[in-house]
Amino acid sequence: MTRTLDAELKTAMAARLLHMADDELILAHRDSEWTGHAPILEEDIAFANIAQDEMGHGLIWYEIRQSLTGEDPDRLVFFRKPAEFRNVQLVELPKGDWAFSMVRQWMFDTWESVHLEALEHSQFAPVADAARKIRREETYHLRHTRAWVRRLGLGTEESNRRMQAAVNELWPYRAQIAIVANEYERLVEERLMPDLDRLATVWGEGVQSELTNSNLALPESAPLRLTRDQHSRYFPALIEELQQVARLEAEARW
Amino acid sequence: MTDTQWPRFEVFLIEEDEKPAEHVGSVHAPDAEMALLNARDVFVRRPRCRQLWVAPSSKVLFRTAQELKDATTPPGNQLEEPQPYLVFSKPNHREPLTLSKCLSAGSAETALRSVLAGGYGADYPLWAIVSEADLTRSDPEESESFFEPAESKQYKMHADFPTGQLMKEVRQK
Repeated sequence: MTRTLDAELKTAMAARLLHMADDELILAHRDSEWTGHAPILEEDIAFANIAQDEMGHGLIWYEIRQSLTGEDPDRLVFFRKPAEFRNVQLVELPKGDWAFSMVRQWMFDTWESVHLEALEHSQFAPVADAARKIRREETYHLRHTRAWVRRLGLGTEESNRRMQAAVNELWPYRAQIAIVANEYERLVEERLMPDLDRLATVWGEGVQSELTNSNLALPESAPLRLTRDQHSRYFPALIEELQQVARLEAEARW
Repeated sequence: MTDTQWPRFEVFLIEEDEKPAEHVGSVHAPDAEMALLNARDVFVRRPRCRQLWVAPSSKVLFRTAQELKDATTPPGNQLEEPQPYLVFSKPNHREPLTLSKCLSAGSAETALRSVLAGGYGADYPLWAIVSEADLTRSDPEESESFFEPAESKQYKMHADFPTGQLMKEVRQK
């Protein structure tokens, strides 16, 4: 179904697409830091594949946004200041140990599986179509990361301890993923975007049950109340690295 | 130093429904399920694929033509309950190791001997034999997420990038 968006809806949609695109981009960047460093060659390849997929998904959202605002995805990625990014801190925290990166990727995949399923019902056709396409790959990501979470959770004393530490550190960051501006409400009313509070609850239940199956538990800690314009102290260095080459020669054609 | 490597699994790939399985290589994995996932990531990122099979390398019998010639006593004389075996053969050094016969036999060795006794592939350089029971196959219900995304991804050849042309322009300036 194709809907034409009025100016207010367009602005709200563009803002939300930027959240989604930035989440994918920054997670892809952190994942890519494992390239050449993963614990075993096969997993090095697998994790690089996942990073590349997430980068591709980010591009899909940036391009839909471009159709609304005209803004070039490359300009957004390579020439924005850190404070202008709208990703959650969950995806920007340093890669940590293998357990940390795996738990993070799995939590994000679990979120995406809930989120994408809802996005498939968007009344804004470009979003619904993209969600269908992305979900095929995300189904595989979740299959892969879930297999790892189970094995490391149920593995040795050390692997379980590291996994639990990662869960404890990451889970407080969960709330930021469902934080949106007031203008988002109209997108929900018009059935262009899903109700994120409801999805966050479903996500939490999914995470909890999978952790239980893996001999891991959710921490009791309260969620951090962060908005999407708040970044961690690690973020400027990440953006500097991400943009370094592009900024060397801003007018270069690639 | 102890070997901390995971066990190896041999990987077989079916590219099209009507084509036989081909041996494409091996992956390390802690178990068969992870081996299938690793095989997907290592071997099916781009090319087309319909099915993947994996089997522990320790359960796959590889035999070269030289080994067959040198063998003095016919092995596999212990009597085992016959079970289904898959016999892969490599017709020459260019073609892949491809599934060529499925038969019931008491062991991998006897499966190979009975194929050779039938006059098939007398001059083939390489064979691989695996019991059906040792194979783990990808689930057809998972094809959509396992294999379909790869088909929409295209190789970007180096010629697709304008770097060479751009360098020439830069030098001429």
